[in-house]
Amino acid sequence: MLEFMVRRTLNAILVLWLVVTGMFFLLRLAPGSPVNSLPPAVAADPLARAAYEAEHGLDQNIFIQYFDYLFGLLRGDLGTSLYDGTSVMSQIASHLPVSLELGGLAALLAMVPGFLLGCWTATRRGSWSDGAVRVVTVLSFSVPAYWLAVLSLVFIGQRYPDMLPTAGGFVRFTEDPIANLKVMLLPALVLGLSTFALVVRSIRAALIDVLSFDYVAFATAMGMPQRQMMKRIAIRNAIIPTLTVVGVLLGGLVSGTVLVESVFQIPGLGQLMVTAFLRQDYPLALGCSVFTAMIFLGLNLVVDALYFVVDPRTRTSTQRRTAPVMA
Amino acid sequence: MTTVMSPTAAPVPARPASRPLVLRIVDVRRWPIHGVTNWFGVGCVVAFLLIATVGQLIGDPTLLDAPGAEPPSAEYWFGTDTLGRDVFARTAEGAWNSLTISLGTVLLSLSVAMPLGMLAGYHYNGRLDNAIMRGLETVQALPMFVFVMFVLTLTGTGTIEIGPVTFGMRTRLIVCLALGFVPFFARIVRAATLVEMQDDYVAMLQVLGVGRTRILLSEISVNVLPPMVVQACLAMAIAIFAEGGLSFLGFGLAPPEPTLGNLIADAGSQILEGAWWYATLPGAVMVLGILGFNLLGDALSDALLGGSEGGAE
Amino acid sequence: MSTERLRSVVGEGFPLSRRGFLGITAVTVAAATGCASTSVASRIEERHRDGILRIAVASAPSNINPLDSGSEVTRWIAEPVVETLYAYDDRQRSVPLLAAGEPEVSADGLTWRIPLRSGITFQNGDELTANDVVATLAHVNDLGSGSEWITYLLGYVQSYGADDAYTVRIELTKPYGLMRSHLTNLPIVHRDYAKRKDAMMGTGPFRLESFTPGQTFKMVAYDGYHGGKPDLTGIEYTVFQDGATRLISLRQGKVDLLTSVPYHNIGSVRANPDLHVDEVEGPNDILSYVAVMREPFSDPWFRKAVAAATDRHGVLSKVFGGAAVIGQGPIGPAEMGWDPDLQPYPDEPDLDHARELLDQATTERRDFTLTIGTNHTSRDMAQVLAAGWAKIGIDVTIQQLAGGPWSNKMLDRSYDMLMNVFQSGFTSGPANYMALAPAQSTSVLSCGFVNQEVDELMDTVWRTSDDEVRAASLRRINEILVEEAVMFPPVYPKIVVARLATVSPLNLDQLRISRVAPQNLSLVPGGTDE
Repeated sequence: MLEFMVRRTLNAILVLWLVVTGMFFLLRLAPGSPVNSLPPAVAADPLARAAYEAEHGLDQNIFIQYFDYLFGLLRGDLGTSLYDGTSVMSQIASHLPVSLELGGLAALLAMVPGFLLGCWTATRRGSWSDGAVRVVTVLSFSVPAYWLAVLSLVFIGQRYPDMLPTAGGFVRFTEDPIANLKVMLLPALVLGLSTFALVVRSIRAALIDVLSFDYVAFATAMGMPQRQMMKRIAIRNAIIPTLTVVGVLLGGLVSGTVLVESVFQIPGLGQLMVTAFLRQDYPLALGCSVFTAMIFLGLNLVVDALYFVVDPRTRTSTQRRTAPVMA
Repeated sequence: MTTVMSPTAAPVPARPASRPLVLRIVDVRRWPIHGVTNWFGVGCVVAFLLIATVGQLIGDPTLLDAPGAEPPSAEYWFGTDTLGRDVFARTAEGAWNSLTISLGTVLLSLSVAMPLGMLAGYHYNGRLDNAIMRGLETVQALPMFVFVMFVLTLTGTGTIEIGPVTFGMRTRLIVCLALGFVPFFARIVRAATLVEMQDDYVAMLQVLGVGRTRILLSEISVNVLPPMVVQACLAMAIAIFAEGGLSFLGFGLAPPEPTLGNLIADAGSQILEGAWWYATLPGAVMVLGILGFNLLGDALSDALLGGSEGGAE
Repeated sequence: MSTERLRSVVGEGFPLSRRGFLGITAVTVAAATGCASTSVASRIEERHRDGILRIAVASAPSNINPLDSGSEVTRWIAEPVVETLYAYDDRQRSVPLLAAGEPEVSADGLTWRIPLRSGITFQNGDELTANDVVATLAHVNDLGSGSEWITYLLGYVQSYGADDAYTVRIELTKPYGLMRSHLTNLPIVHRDYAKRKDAMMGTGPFRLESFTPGQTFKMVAYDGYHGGKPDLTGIEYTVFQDGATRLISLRQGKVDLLTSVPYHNIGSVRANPDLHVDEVEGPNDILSYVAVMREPFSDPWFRKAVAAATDRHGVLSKVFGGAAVIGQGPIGPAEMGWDPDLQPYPDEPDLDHARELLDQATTERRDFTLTIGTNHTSRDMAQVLAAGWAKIGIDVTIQQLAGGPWSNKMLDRSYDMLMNVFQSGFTSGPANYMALAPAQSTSVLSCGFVNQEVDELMDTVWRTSDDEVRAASLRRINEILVEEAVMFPPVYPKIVVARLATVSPLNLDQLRISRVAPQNLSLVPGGTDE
């Protein structure tokens, strides 16, 4: 296990380095200079341009800039925003917790009911309720979160503006937990919907698989109480294939926050990133992307580790089956 | 729906039946006729295609016809927006734009991912495989949506002229989205190729001295296709979603060109006038498309891969 | 094992049925929404007990240094905190505020001595001295600081310093008539804060207590203020980027005042008896000019055809909800040099005339790109205009760009037509010199238009200290630019501010130069009768 995890971690670090390097150079080679984010008349003045470039280290060799950036990254310094000159790290530090809260809340709202509904529907295979659940789940992950968000603005926001982060200014959890949860509820529901649908479907499929295994029939035949059988054997085994999906889900949550935060104007990492990209604020966009990649790769590592904990069988094999993680 | 593949993206697809792909699709007996949801899916796709094609013939999407926002009527089926344009005509045009961009995306990414995945699978654990996989992981280290946004920002919003070829916003969107889809398809192709490689016939062909290119092109590719058709269908659903999301955030086609995403975004700012139709109806058409392609993917998975009773799982 | 049995078993194991699940969800939602039903009036009354005025703004910079940007986005928030050496009175004359009197200008006009009032304190208790003014000037003259003010001062200001604690001296390189205007608009900041981008320290009646970048800004009354004590105990700004939700919060009584009323919704605001809406003509311009150095706009007939086919009325009614004035030349009705008799363009486009003009054009091109900013208003406007130009067979591509990339286009002159909304009240009062800059052939922003008379007049505008001469020059520039169809904004949007009836009326004379002046407002229980 240790060896496997070390290898996965090293691989993740390698990938992260590739991401940073690729993005850094691509952004620097992109047309247009950050100097142009200054007031036009300032940017047009050669003297002012030179002064600005010198101040921001833009006049240096690109490789020197690159190594500066890498070493800065190791020290936790991601440079300063071109738009407002604030430290990128401090911006991320203030926006990230909001996104984590939103993502966590969405995961909670999706996984718990999703798990229960998945178990419930697995035992009613072929019945009308199973069919209904299938329709509901397919529908749930076919509805774009941003549309749902706009609809909730139209139909709920008009009546209950207190529930909209946009209509009262966003409140942080540390300022007022109740008000915060109130405004986070709708976005989290909207964000969690597709995750919920995927959890239901994957738990259901896995349970049906497990229930058809011989040892389950055997345990039942030997008189193991049904309830205990479900808890001890079936669900435990059904969780393993579901874990594969969890990686997928996390990716979905990360990109989902980008859109949902934009609609609801929640000051999270996603909104920060979109704004940075739209303004072509390269250091900020790069910093946000690096952080997103870090979170994403980190979560996948955790899923890998969980694999070992939950499924003893994988401990013997050296490599886990290649599961496509898509998001 | 987020940019997430449904669990259909199982690691290793079932070994497909040996009959040619086309026959398997055409063979109606294999279609689960009784599956209401499957037919519902087909119905959704057909409806979506109709709106995107025939629907375009009705009304003018850019004409400032009405004095302002009007609710749906016999004249304007989906009402009008604040500039007085026919929302139905805009939705139809938007559906067409979404459809062409998504289709282009899927086709382009498939044509890149197929050879890439097969090469990686053929050289499983080899140096080429490792290089390809690291590359794919790098692209995937960012959520697809964020990655596409990044690439779009790099290229700007103007037209790019490379030699005689002019890349408009539409082509650019397709290329960027396709780039995001490549890792996903390539991984599945690689996994499917692996399964094939473990099959005896490949070893035999190799013993017989059949060249690598020929094995890949004429033998493996045929067997890898069926799962790809299913995935392509599901990818269509995701592409429609993703294109909508990009337009929604302002990274998509430029106005006045409508897309389903920018219609929803525009509607978001007009909700106070009680213009419910503007936010609701174009989005519903989008759901029709996404839902349809999802269900169609399920149905195809049943028909081509003999998927489990549960459908996509 | 039968499915039947299994079903019953699992049914027991997981007592939560679907109905139960839906029930729980419903209860959760209901619990969260339950408390939202209090009436609007009582909510406002309850809220007003703390004496804090709440303002909804459309956006806010996280760089809150009031010296860096003259845009209303920054300055609306800075208004109650910072003050200027001179200020506009209600007749838009420049009168001393922090200055003790008129500046003493040397005979050659190159040396300015400004006396300061003594005993004025910043919100941290420090007394205002000449050093603070010098620090402020140092920041805005620093090329690397990124301050917008450099645009106005570059090439004019040679040096500055403190003659004594209460006298500031500014040396100019050449006579500069606009200097007085700048001294009337440039805020004075505490010397230790001049360079900070995360804090504000001024001499105004309110001090910035706390803020979350891009979201909320809280001000409390400053007890040591040198002027009259304000009625309010505090002012709170909240950012609502989305126009619709901004308006919802006003209707729901969560905020008292709205600075940028979404034009789409202006009709419903006017009709609402609980709200007051002020629409005034102000220096709120649609910057709009064409690249004269390149086809197709190098052809004057093409330019004139486009100007004639501009759907001004469509923009006025569909984009601005009527809260605008039909546009002619670059100078609007609230700006110096406005010529009410100059009306070459009718409200509705004269398409036949436009086609005739187009027929005379030598250029073969019948298409161009319209580059606009990213806001909604610009986008709607561009779409209306494009639809109008399509009627005479001109195919327009709309390109939406954010600030940086937009400037990029402007600087490397790769645009055909540029358009953006711009409020200049905070940097130049009742005038907009920046909007005209591209018409001057020597300007770094020149759009390629070369006209000796305009160049000379523009020099006069910047140099003269006689407002009559300046106004006359501007009038003539406006006339030439209309005639040559170089700048022809479709409309002049009004500045629109909405407020609850329980807030005292705004000073409309100040609003005409973009000032909302919330520091002078008060809360009126029971509402005002207007």
